[in-house]
Amino acid sequence: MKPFTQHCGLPKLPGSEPFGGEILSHDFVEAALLRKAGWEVWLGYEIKESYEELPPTLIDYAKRDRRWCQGNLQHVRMILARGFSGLSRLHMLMGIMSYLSSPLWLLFLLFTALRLMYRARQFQCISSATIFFLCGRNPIR
Amino acid sequence: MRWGGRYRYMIVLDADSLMGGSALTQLVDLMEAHPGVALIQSPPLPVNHKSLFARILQFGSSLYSDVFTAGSSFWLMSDSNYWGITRSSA
Repeated sequence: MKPFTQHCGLPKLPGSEPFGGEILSHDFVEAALLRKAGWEVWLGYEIKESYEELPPTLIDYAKRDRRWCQGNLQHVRMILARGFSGLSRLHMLMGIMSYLSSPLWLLFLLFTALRLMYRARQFQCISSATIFFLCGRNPIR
Repeated sequence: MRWGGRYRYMIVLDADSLMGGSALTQLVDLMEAHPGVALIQSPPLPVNHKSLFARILQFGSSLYSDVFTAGSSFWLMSDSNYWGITRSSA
């Protein structure tokens, strides 16, 4: 119990929700604090009899996901805190990116679509110019 | 936490966590054998629900969970992460 009680007292984040208040995804931070204090954190992959029950419906799942999203995005404020190990920061970064990658992907789709429209217009100019050269008139304008 | 200091280890369970006896003793064995370890996360396998949605997730987890946790543990070793539940802490 000692390492946990000694190192894992968590503060309330300053400011208001969604980014302030209680640290929702406390587990990542507790692991990072233990690592910072020199303790090891293991994943007992050979332990078999450990089970959990999932949210039974898509709506319940979405509710949990919303909570996790808020909790993981709070880590933006801690990821650069002094003293954490690089791998603790990587855990937080992966948690953040699991929710940030979707909006980034959406932006990527929007920007590539815009670029495609822009290039299509460029090609249209070229083709009308070519037609002008070949036919002596511009059928588009 | 107020009375926790009287005990050597604790195992944290969520309302929806389940654990067999062998998992408990394995956790304690690992902790006793490795005094530098403060926390061991056990890999929780999703079970028990019967809705199609939950069944799909449970099926997926039963396929990838073992490989995922073994690989993750191989690469991270003592730098693993805590997922909040069903773990033990020194």
